[in-house]
Amino acid sequence: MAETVNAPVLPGPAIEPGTDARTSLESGYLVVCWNDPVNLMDYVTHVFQVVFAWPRAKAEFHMLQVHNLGKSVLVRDSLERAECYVHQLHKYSLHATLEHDSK
Amino acid sequence: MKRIKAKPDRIVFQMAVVEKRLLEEALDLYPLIPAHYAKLNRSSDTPALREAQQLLDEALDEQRRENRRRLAAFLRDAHRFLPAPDGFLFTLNQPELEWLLAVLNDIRVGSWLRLGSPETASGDAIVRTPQTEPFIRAMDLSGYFLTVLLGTAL
Repeated sequence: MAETVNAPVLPGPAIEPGTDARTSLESGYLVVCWNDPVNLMDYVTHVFQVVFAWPRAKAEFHMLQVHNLGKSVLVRDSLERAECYVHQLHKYSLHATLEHDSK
Repeated sequence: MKRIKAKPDRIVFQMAVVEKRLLEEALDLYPLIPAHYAKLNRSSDTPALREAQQLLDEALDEQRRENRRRLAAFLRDAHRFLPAPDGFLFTLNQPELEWLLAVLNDIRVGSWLRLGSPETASGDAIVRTPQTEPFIRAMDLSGYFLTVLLGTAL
């Protein structure tokens, strides 16, 4: 029979009532890419790889979300960084927006 | 058009005479996406987002101007297209390849917009009229060159 060991209980972070794990103090923005049927699938995959430095599999996953679902949430980030990503996607003529993440 | 050499610093394509002419014809149309087409946000309208939208418009305007200047130099460059027995040897480095992909996609998306953003981007499914024909052709040409170049990217 395997011996059981009680794991030591470590103190966790003190969480005040009414707080959230993803604090609203740091407001987040979602970078969303929308489907335009004119964009070639390989092109969209390529742009995601270049802009986000993603491996091909991840880039293809998001490309297929765009293609099949009409849009894909690519990243959540600060306003400045989300803006920067949207600028880069527009420079490649992809239809991208940033949306305030209210969750 | 096919890739015949890929080295870390450059990629060389064999290109027929007619392909060079068609590439130049497509690139002459740049830019086709209208100014102020790109929208940063779909739902909110806050002062911060209005300012961000203005920054995006300015950045894209500047990019269009820079791309036009760069395109003129690109097409004039005598070393870009070297005569070869079956047409031309067309040489690009990696940053030029990335830039050309973005320029060609502007032409493709812009043509599609001028066709009324149809649900399909297949030129065969769009009614051909004297008004639509140039944009169907531009969409098809840019799609062809994008496909060839993407086959060599990354």
